[in-house]
Amino acid sequence: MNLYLPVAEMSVNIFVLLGLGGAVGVLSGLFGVGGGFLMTPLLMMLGIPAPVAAATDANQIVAASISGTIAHMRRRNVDFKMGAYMVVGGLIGSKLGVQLVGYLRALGQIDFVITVLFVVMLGLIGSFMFVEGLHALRGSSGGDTGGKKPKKTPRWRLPLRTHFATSGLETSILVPLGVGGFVGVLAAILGVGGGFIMVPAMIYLIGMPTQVVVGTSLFQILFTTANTTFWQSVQNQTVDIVLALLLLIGSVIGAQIGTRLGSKLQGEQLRVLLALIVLATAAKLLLGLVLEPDDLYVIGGGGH
Amino acid sequence: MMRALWTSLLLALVATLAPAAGAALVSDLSHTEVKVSYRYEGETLLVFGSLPEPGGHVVVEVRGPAKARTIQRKGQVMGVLWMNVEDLTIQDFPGYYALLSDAPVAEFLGPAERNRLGLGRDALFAAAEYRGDPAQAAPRDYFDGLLRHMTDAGLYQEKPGAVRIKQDRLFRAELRMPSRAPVGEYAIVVRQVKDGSVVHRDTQTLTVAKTGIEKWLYDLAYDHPAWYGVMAVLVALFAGWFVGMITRGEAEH
Repeated sequence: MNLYLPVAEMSVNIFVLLGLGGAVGVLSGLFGVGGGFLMTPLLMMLGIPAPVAAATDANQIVAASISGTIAHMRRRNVDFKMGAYMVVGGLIGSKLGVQLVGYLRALGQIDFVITVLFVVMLGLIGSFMFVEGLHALRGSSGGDTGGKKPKKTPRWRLPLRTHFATSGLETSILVPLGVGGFVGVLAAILGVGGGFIMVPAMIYLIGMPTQVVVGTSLFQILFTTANTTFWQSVQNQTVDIVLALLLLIGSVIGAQIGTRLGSKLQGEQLRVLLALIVLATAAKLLLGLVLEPDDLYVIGGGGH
Repeated sequence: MMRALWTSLLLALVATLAPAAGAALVSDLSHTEVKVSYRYEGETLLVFGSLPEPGGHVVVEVRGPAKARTIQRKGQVMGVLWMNVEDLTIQDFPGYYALLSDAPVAEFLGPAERNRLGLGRDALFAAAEYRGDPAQAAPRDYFDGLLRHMTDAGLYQEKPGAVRIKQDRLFRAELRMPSRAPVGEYAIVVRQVKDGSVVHRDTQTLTVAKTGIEKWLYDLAYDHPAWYGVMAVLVALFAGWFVGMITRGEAEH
């Protein structure tokens, strides 16, 4: 059964999109990441133009993260003070990112930049998480997670330090602002929530307790992707509501399954599994950059 | 069933036209408007009509709305990465082009005449205006690259044999519009060719337009993008919350 997408201007199979949303949704619930890093390339493989895929994905993540955010808020897994600083950074970053997308589209380099950024980000974070996960698996055999976490002593002292009660730590507000801002830029360019960067940054850089990390990152993602959706609509006209709705129906159901699966599985094993998925995606994209393309000629965005 | 119906319709048409034969080539379309709704998967139309005199060949040329097309060429940078290195823009190139005929056009029309009429690949290339000055490849390579992409999407078609001629008087051809066909006005020109030149011609106009919710969303996205953006966010928030409520509700039972 096919459906015509009004903004992407093409006909697509409904069940393919529902399945894609569902698979990515399971990951989202399992790891607290938006799953955008898989969704954007998969949509592009279906023939959806890259900027439409990325912007629509951001819109879909708004929907996917509201239900997750509410669930985590109920379980008091959100550090609102930390989240608020990250949101402010995210709003600024995503606005800048949308601007950058328009500029790169005009240059005809948006696809290349998207792919390179995916390879670098996913490659670095995937390897880091893989090594860390293996260490943890070998080190703590069956110990409770987070209990014997070594106290992080900051290497450098930034100004504007403040106390975050929920996380039980003290850090400069520049850290959550910076992390949020960086993730905001990525949200706009790549159509990712950025959880796969934020979660490790919050654990390793800020030193937040594991149980508030996922909830707080979802909280930030919700605001950043909403901002991205709005500005992509205004400046680039690349958000397809119908496509986003189809993806979200699949992804929200998938996310519920993922959340329940997550509570049954061990944290360290999950981290290694996520690392492997991230690395596989990076490798796939890297091949696309270094192998000679089938067709040297591509049709530029041009636009309407 | 459909074919039988059209054939009988055409026979009736030619019967009434027969006394006036010699006057003009008469063509028509099965429908003059293609409506792009949410179920749109492309459409097949019938171009049909009668010929004023027997013999010769029939060419049906269809041109969709024109716009500038930018073609980028990938090259290897730093010996490893493939990225877009050059581009060429072709001005006012049709977003859809179909050339249907009863035999390969080159067999009955010479290159000079094809170029003059703008029929086919070589004629389109000769008529195109370019912007940009690529150094690594000739404009023709860019042009062929564009047509390759358009052919894959069904937006460029050359179909010798698609036009059927019956009893030297009637012709019909099936015209396939893919779902990617751009919205706008399409010009359909039917030509009868004899001894290497066009002896009769007739034109029709086809409109491809969005309708219903497709039109509403598309217009909103381009005419009122801020409202579209607000709506996209609100719809996502509500839908995400709503679906989440349902799934959580089930989980607690």
